[in-house]
Amino acid sequence: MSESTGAPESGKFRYRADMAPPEPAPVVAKRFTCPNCGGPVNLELPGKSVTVRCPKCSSILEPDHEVLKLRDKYNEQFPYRQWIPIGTEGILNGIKWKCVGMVVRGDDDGGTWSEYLLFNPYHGYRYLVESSGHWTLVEQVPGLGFDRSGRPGWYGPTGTIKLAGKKLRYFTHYRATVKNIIGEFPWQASIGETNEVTEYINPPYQASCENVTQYFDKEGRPVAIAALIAAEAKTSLVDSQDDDDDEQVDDGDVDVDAIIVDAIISKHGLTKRVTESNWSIGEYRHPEEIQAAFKLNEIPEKVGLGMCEPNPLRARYLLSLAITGLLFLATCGTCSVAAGRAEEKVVLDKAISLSTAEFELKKEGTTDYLEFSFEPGNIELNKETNVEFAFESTLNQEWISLNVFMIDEQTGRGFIYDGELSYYYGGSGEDKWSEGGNSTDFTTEKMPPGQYYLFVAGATNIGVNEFKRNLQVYGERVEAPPAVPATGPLSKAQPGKPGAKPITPVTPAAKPAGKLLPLDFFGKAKAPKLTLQMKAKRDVASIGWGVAFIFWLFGWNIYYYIRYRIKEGER
Amino acid sequence: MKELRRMYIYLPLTLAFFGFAAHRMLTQAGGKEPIEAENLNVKSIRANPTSFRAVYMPRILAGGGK
Repeated sequence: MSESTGAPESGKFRYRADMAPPEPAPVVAKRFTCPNCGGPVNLELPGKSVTVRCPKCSSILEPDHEVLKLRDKYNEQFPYRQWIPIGTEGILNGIKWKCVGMVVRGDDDGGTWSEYLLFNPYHGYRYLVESSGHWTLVEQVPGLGFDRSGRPGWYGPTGTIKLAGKKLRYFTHYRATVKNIIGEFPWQASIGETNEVTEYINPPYQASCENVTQYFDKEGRPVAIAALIAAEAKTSLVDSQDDDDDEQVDDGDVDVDAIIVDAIISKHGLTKRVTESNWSIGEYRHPEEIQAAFKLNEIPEKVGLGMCEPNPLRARYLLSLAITGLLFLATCGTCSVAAGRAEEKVVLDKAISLSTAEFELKKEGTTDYLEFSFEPGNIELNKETNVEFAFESTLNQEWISLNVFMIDEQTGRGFIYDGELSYYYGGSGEDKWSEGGNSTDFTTEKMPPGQYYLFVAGATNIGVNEFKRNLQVYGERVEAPPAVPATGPLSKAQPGKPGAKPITPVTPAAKPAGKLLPLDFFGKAKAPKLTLQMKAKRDVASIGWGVAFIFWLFGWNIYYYIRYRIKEGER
Repeated sequence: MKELRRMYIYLPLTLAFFGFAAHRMLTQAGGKEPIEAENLNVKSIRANPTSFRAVYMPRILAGGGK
C-alpha cells in the first residue's frame, strides 16, 4: 500500500526523500480489456497495482498475469469531480509525480474529501488530499507512532503526539468510509471499506493514524462483522414486518448500525481488536501551488481554514504579542524613571474641622446649601512642578464641593482648581447601591515656582437642615460683610503663561443671597461639623498616560487574539 | 515584514501613543487645568476671607469654574 522513505531525520519533521531505496527503471503502461464491458483499461503501473477500476463501467478489476480479473461488477459512471485527472503529471518539490488513482472518502457526518494517489518510480506513492479546496501532501510512514512496547504511541484519542521533535495536538477522531475509487491502486481497494482515523495537527503539518479493526469470536477466529450485520438486519426486518406490518417506525437520531453491532457483539461474544495501524504524515500545500504544479485550469474554491493550514492571523497575533511585551517593558521603564525623578514631597497635611453654624446658607434653584471657606496654609514650590491635592472626609448622603485657590504671594496670580466629594447609598440586599466615595484627589498642571498661599472655598449640604432650623428659631440675621475690592480678570489659563484669554467678570450681587446666623446662639456648639483631611504633595509622578497606554496595548492584543481564535474556529 | 505592513493601523498608532505617553510621563505634562485670576491680594483675603468668597465665588462660577 505504501512506500517507506526511511527513519525520521533527527530534529526535522520531514523525511528525506533521497534516503528512499532506488527503484528499478520506470514501468511501462499496459493496455487491457475490461472483462465486464470490453472497454479499454490502461494499467499505468503493471506489477505494482493490485486494483484497477474500469474507466467506462467502473467495475473493479484485478491484474492477473496478462489479463484483468473481474472482482466487483459495476455499471455506472464515476460521479465525483476529478480536479486532477488520472494520468496527469506534476512537479512538487522538484519531484515529478503522476496521478494514478483517486479515492473519495467520507465521514459519518456526510463530509467527503478526495485523495489523489501520486506515484514516482523513485519515491513511491504519496497522497494529495483535497478537502474543501485545501490540499495536503501526505506520505505513509509505517511503524511511526509505535513505541518500544509495540503499542501505538498516541496518548488516547486526545492529547498530543511528538514526531521528530515536533508536538502535534489532537484534532479529531472519525470513521472514514471509502465512497468511491477510480484509477489503480497498489492494494485491494474496495468501496465501503472503513477505518477509524485520528488526526493530529501542528500547521502546516499533520499526522494521522488509521486503525483497521477486526472482530474475533470466542475461539479467537476472525469474524466478518459486515456479513453478521447484514444477516441481523435482514432478520430484524422480517421480524418487524411480521409483528407490525402497518406501523411506521421513526428511528430519528438513533444510530441503528451501532445498536445492531452492539447486539451482535453481545450475542456472539465477540471481541474487537485493532489489527492494523497506519500512520501518515502530511504537509499543507497552497492551492495555487497545486494548480501550478499540475497545470490545472480549475481548482476547487477554498472554504474556511484547512485542517493543517497555517492560520494567517497567527503571525499577526504573535507579532502583536511581542510588540506588546516590548512596549509594556518600555512603559514600565519610563514609569520607573518618571517616579524616580519625582520628589513626591508632602508639603501640606492638615485636618480641618469646621462648624456648619459658621457657614453661609445659599440657594440654587430648589437646592439649599452652605458655603464655607478656610485657609489651610502655605506651600512652597522650589521649581516648576505639579502639585497633587487629596481630600478625605466621612460622608453620609452628603457632598462637598471645593475650590482650591493657589495664590502666588509675590505676583498675586491665582490658580483655582476644583474638586468634589460625595457619597450616597441606598437599597438593601441585592438592590443595594452606592455612589461616589469619601475621598478625591487631583493633580495640577506644572506650576511656576514660588510661595503659594492656599485658600479653599467650598459648598456642602452637611448640616444644612440644622442650619435652616436654627435660622428659624434664632431668626436674628446680620448682613453679609462688604465685598473686597475687585481684582484682575479671571480666566482659564495655563500656569506660567501670562496673557491668557480673560473671562468677562460678572458683577457681584449687590445684595448677598444668604444671611449669616448670629455669631453666638444657644446650641451652636451642637451644630454639625465638617471634617476634612487635606493633603498636598509637590512634584508627583504622573503615570496616568502610561496606564492608559498599557490598556491600549492589551486592548489591541486581545483584538488580534480574538481574530486569530475566530479564524481557528473555521478549521 | 509582510505582517508588520499589514498592521498599518495598529503599529503607527501604538508607537505614536507610546511616544506621547512617555513624553507626558517624563515631563509631567498634563494635569488639571486651572482657572486663573490676576492681582489677588493675599492680605485682603486673609483679612476678610468670607467677603472674598462671597464676592469672587460667583465670578469664578460664571468664569467656568465650579
